[in-house]
Amino acid sequence: MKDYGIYEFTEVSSDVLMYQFVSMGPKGMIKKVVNFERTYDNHIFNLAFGNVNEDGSIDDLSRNDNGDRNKILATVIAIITQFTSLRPDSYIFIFGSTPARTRLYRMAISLNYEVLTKTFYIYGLSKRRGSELFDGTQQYDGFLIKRK
Amino acid sequence: MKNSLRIDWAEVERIAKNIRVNKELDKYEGKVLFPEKLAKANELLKGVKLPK
Repeated sequence: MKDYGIYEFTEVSSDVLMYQFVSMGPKGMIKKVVNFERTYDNHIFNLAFGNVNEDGSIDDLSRNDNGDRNKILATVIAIITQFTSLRPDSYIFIFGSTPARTRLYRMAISLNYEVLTKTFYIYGLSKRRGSELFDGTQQYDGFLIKRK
Repeated sequence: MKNSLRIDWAEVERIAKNIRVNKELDKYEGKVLFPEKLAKANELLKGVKLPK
């Protein structure tokens, strides 16, 4: 039995940096984008995630409250899986737009640590502790993910 | 509620293999869509020693 769902139809740009899928729920259909933006270090891509507004602009702070948070998280993990399969030497940097979102990501990593670490190295980053292999008991400012 | 965050890895892999190119998304090529977030990412990354 599945623990929870995942969005079936995810699309990507030709350069394989911009992904899109549609959230479906009580508030209707909301386009979501996941964009991998190269940081100052060419091997590290920042994962940015947001909604496409009606005017075409993109917003990474909005909450759609479409009741599908877990489905969205699973879809983003599938996107990371595809992205890193094509760029196995790259790191993905993930942090939340708010501390609450960063805590949510930490909780999701902790709960799925065993399965995720079969495929990925996962590091936690914080100003206080630097970078280290992820430890679910610690607080982090962000996370680095790389293919094994 | 907490357990609902658990992923089904077989489903994750299946979806990852079925992501299709949509050329309409190419309009974003070369654009930084989240400049503030990227600036914050760079700040965080530069502030710590990264893994080798």
